[in-house]
Amino acid sequence: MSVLWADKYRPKELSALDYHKEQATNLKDLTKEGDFPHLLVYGPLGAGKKTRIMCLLRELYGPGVERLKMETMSFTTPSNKKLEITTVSSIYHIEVNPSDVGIYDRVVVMDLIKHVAQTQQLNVNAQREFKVIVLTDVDDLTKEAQHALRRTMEKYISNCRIILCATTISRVIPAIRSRCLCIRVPAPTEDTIINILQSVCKKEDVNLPMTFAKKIVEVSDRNLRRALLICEACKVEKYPFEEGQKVPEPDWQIFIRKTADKILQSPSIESLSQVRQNFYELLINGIPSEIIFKTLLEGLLTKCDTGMKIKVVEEAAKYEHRMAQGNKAIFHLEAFAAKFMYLYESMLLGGFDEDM
Amino acid sequence: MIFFFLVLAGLCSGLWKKRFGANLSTNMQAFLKTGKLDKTQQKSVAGSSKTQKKSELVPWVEKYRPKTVADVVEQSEAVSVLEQCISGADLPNLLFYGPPGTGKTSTILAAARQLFGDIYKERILELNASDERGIQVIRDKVKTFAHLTASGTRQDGKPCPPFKIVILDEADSMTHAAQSALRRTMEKETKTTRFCLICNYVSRIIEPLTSRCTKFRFKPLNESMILERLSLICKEEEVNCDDETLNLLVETSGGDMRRAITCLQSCAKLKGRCQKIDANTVLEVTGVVPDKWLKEFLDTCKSHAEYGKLENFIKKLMLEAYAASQILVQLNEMVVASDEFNDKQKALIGEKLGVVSYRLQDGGSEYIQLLDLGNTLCKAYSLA
Amino acid sequence: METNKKWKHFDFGPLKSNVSKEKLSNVSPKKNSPELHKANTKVLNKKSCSTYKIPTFDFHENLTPKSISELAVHPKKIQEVVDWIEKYVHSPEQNLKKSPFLVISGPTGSGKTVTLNIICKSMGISVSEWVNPIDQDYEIKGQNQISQFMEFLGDSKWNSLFDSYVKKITLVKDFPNAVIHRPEQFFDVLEECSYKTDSPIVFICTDSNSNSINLVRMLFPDEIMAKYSIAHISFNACASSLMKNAIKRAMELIKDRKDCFKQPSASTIEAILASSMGDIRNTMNQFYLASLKEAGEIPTIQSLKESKGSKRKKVDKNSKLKGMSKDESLGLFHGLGRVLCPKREQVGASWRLSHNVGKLVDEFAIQPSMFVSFLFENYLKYFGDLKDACHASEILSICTGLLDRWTGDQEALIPALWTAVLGLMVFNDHKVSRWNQIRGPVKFNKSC
Repeated sequence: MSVLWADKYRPKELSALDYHKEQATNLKDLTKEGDFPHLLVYGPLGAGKKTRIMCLLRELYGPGVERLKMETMSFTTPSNKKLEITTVSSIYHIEVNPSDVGIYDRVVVMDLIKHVAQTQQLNVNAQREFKVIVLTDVDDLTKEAQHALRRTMEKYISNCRIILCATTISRVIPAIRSRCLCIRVPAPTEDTIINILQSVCKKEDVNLPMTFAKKIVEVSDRNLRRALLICEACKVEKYPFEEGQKVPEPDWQIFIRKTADKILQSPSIESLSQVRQNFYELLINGIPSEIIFKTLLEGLLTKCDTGMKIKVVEEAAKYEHRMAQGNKAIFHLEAFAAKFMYLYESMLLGGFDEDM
Repeated sequence: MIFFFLVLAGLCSGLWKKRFGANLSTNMQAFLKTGKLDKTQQKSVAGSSKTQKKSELVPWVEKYRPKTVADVVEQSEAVSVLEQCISGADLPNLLFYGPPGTGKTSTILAAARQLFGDIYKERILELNASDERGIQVIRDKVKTFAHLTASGTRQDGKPCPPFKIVILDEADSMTHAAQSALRRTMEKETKTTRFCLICNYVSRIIEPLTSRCTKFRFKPLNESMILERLSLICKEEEVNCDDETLNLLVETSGGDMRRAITCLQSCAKLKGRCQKIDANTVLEVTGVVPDKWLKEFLDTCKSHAEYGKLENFIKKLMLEAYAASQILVQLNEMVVASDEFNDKQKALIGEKLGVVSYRLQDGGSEYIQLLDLGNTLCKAYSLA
Repeated sequence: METNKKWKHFDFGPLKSNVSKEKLSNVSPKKNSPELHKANTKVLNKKSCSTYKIPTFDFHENLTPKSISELAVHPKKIQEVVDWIEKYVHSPEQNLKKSPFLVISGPTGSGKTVTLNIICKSMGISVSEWVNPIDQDYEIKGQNQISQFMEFLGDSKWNSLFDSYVKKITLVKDFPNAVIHRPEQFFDVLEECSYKTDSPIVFICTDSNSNSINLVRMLFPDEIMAKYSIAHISFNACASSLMKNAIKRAMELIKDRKDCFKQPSASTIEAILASSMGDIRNTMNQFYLASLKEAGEIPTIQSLKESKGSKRKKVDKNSKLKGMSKDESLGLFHGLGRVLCPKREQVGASWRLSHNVGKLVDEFAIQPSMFVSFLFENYLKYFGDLKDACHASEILSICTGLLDRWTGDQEALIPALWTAVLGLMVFNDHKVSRWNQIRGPVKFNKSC
């Protein structure tokens, strides 16, 4: 299994895209014009942002953009700290995830763009006069980096274009939004995903029953990539597909659900310390704290009545916000768990204190 | 230590995406492979023609900036004062404040152009928030600039005022320390230099600075003014756009001229030259959430009959990739304008809107924050 | 080169050492080891300050142990050192290619150097010690110093002509600064020495709590220890019983010198012992100060009390200065205990905390986030009620929020610490007092 299905059947051209066709034609028109604005592509995970960006680049430069090489660039912060960041680049574009370097992202953003913008296009016959810089996870950039970006974007507009990629633009400062052409990529609908799954399976000579496809889609959260991965995993596990075959869920999801159950079963200090161990486990395994929080909340809410739910969500919103600000997620996760336990216990005993 | 954690967190999120989202390394391999196969093909494409017009690189916002102070729409107060200055009176230190896109920067630039003519670029120093603007820069850069003497004549012999202008754009994002440093410089260099501070919120400028400047408030622009300007640009740029769509553009811009022009340019770009711009494109480009989603949101909160319906709806909404902040803005307008809620309910919702918006800006999760808002809406409905 | 350098011991150096620029001092045990030098000068200062006639009695000379039996070191450790010397220095059949290394580590004042010197003396081995060339102006830096160091270690196989001892060992106690900055250079030196020298080399490192100057861990990591098969003997802090013996011996010594010394009172000695924290050198200095007869004054009860009080103060201060690192870690656990198990006083119908919260906060102001991490890791075990725990976790969440938000200025740190400390102490209504092991905060190793 050398290439994953998700990569193998990734559309390579704008015209080959499976959904959001109108947008695709618009993008195509965009490349026909000589000029090209900065882009901000946003949409949920697995909606095909990256695919669209690559297609667009191909449309701009031809298949040359697909010859990628991986490089490590190093930067020096004003405080003389050496930073290293991995970039993926072709002769026409360079892709980088500046949030990899944490709070030093500002340096990376500024230096990288300056560097790229100052080196002229190597290929004199190149179709375009500009290079493209793809920045991923822009929503994770610090505010400073975003401010720096906005200035740099204006300064070097003559020989480079920036394509930003974000899951949500709420965290992108308005100044950047207003300087980019924003392209929204909504998640594909469930029917679309089913169709794509079917067609991929057909190409792979795999028989995918409709009911099973539906099951996969349900689990995948309208994340096309995830759907394809799950489908492939299921096939490896057991083929031909059976009626009652289980769709594998990620371990961490099950683990978080178990944690939620533990909180619900016995609200006590002892279980709180066990819950903390679980959180540690999750964090150590690299599960992002937001995902833990969200999944946990979903698990907990299933057992709450409406009045309770309002309270719990209110608390959740508070702690989640704190968590997003700081970097010690465990404190806030535990505080939320403790708060929930207390609320839940008092709900079971009947009525809460209003002062909590 | 904290830095360390941050870096780790960054790494983790990266790793996470690797595991689950777009798998970078496998991606790479795939592209590498296909890239090699396409070697021959690539050469033929790369050789094709160059069709680029340099002129188009200028954003329309820059291109259609008012050339003279008189061109500036509305803002009569500031305009009249500046016109007097241009005709001979001394220029005071200025402080322009007001919402974005109301012509603050345009006004001072136009004034400078009129004052100094062709050499206006040498006579102004423009610093905005994204430039380095620590205390040191204020001290060094501004000081060196201020020390250069300005003669009372232009190169071509025409008279011009013997001073220079330092424009500090987005002054409200300067630190208080830097602002204090400015205070002294402003006083000392008053012979040769005038300062023009531009900001959105005058409350963020320290008192000693505001007292040294003449303050002008820039009001949000009248919608008809923006419309006029937009149709002018449309004509100039040969953009195919009917009045209805232009109206929609104006509406979404909320009195922000720059935003309206930028949107128009984006639409024109997205659609290509010859095609007509329709309402859908405008909505898409401006990122405005269609009303039907908001209505559904409110309805879902109102009914709150089915358990878990709200959660599902919000999930669905998030997958459409609309910006939560935009949803909040529009919801705010809807709630304020609606007759459905009484004042108490509005107060409740408004407070939550504020809190949620703040948390979202700070990086809170959209799903959880919107869920919180939804629950408050439910609560508000049940109050009635 | 030699002419412009002033070498204290140059005149007694052998011809060979003309070549080497470093100070090659053949120290006979107990006389010239730097610590005693220091102590001696201190004594002299003290004496010159007072108008009292300079006593003809060299206190430190006499106090320094002269035989193995007088050492205030655990006999087992002494035996270890003796064994090592026996094995590598005294047995000629073990003519190893590699020269053996020994690392002696231990807290300050546990008698590492004195032990080695005395043992060597009793076995008839000469010790040549490396001393950092500090009087050579500031030109010498980095490589230069290292090369000298290397030369010293390499050259030490030549015995000085005037040396009557046949066997000798090289002692390194004063590590060149360059080596401390770049341990890899030290490893090179070791590599070099392992075949160049044939006299054994003893390294003496003082333990310390802070990582940056922990020589043992820095210069002798495990793989280096294994590579050169370096023996390691770690001394413990001086046991109080041994310390008492040493003081007893000292009392004996000053008994017949009534002209310049008085016998310190038992309580003074107790105070000295209590504050010694296993540092024999410090203890001896304290004892010396306590027993000095100040200008012939005959201490009355009143003044004795006073002097005792002041002494104790001085002792405290001294011990704090010497043992800062020890204090801190002890303080951390004390602080945790106080915060997690708050004691309350009943005041009328209400109550208040009996500890001084301000002082607690001040103590940890240097590293608030670490303290808070410790609190977080351990607080749950001390809480007996879910509601309390819920409050506490809320408090900690607020507190870390504040701590994370600091941007250069430390102002937010103190209020954050106050919040955490007071919050945890106040909300612990149903406290559980049982013995719990304090756990360190979990460190994430997100390398996966």
